[in-house]
Amino acid sequence: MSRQEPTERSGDDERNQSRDRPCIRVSSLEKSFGDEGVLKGIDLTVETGELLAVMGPNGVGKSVLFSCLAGSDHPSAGTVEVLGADPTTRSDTTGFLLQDALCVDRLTGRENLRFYEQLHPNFTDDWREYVEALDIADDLDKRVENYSGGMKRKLELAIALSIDVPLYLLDEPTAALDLTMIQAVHGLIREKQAEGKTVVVSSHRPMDVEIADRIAFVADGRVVATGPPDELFEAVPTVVETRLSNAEALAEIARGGEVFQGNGGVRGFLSADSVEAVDLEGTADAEFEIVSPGYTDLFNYYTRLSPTNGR
Amino acid sequence: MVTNTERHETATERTTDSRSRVWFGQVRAFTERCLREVMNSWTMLLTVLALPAGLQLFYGVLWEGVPTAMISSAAVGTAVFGAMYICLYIFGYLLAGDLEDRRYAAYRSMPLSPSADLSGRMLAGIVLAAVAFVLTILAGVVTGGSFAIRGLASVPVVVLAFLLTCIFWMIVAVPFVVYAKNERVAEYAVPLIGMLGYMGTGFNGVMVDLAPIEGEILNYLPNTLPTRLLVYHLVPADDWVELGVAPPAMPTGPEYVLLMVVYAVLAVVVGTMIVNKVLYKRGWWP
Repeated sequence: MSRQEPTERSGDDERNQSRDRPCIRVSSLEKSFGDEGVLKGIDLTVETGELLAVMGPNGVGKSVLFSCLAGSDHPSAGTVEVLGADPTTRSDTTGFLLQDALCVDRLTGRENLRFYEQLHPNFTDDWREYVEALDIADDLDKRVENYSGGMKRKLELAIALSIDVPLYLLDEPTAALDLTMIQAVHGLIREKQAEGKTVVVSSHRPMDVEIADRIAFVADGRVVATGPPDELFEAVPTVVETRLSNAEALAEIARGGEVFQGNGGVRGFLSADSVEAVDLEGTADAEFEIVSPGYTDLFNYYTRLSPTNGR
Repeated sequence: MVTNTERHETATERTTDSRSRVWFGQVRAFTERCLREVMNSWTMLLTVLALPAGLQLFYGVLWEGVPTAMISSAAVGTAVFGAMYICLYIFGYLLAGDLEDRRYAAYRSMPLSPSADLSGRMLAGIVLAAVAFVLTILAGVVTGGSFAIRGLASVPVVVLAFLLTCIFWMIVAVPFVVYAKNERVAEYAVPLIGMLGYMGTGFNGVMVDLAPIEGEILNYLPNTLPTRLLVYHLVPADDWVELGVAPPAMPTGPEYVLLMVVYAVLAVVVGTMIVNKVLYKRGWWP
């Protein structure tokens, strides 16, 4: 891929990056807006070259966390280090995709790209490849205000990924995209990782988790669980599914008394005691069925029920 | 043989060159982008460029039989109003768009220079204001006015007065936009400041009988001072009392130019501080 000349500092940084030093180190991070605390003590480490997926329900502060990591916001308390430095004092290390914030609607796609090309010293010609891969090359001369949500997202992604930096923070990069495009975005993200870049992605989509080395679940302003997907799956209790009409019965035996929407029915997590107490095999009409946990179960367990989540 | 000191000096020069290149590139990025945004919108383009010239043409129809120098003075007053209006509207509106769309959150994650941001936007505003100013003066000619430079020394004074006016009025928009964080406020309320200044001071101090304020203050206000300076240097007349531009006496001394410089410097200092602290969250000064 062709590249414009990166700044000397950025080039040196990448060369000097030690595999032993984490790319991101967050300690006791708190962020409040007025009296409202959004982040309440985040601890997180991201290794260099890692692909981390940050997951959590809407409004738990994922975007605020990303803003602190990108140096866009100052923490109210705690520390954030990106490549050993405070990101608010050094801004040449991060490519930040923020939802619906990069593109200027009154400009065309091409004019937006030109703007960032002139603006960022590390902007590369890679956008040409990205707009082809994301299938918006033919729409670059249209004004962004005439783009669909998905097209806008793709243009923003092309801009963010064209900046040659060691760390990419992508806030919901696949929002509003169709399945084919999600695969294309995954391909681009994997390409970045193969180049040795560190990528942190926030998402609600199970598909996005499939490419992650590790997942960090955020709930109630804290990271409630982190680990490789396999390890996190192993720690999920037995998942039981039943008919919608049987939801109350499931709630009686489910952990936390909570049930969640499943594939045409409802699901709950059983504690060890419940598994023994309930004769699942002998239940008439197979009212309860043990099922393998999916990504949605993983999400529900860690963000709503996990003991580390205080529930 | 190259010594360590020479090598260090060469490296320092290269870094400085690289920084300057990046800074100018960022100024250009903001200038180009602001101009493109305006060019892409016929409504915006017509509103900002045609409004002052249109006003002057309208006055021309109303003012039949009015002395040439009076039409010329009024045209300068309207042209300065046009420059002020554009500076407030374009600068404020585009900045408000960036704020409302949270674009500054992205800018803060990039190695951007706040001074390049401010300079680039201001350059775009000055270009558009210059076009509007010239169009209004042309409208003044069409409506019967005539203009002439008083002397060679008038050229830098005219250029300086125009530039300082633009700089001052663009910065006036910054605190309103930054604290309102609303595109609609920037689009409708901020330009009203220019309109109120224009109407409230008798066409920016060129028709003193129409101004509710009178006296020496008209030679000190940031809208009337540059206008009266420009009228003195661009309108071929001597009896200012007969034309209704005086009293007060025209601001002809260098101290008035100096006062304009002070206004512009103060505005730039305040604007730089707000952009650094509030928009880029990097402390009060670069």
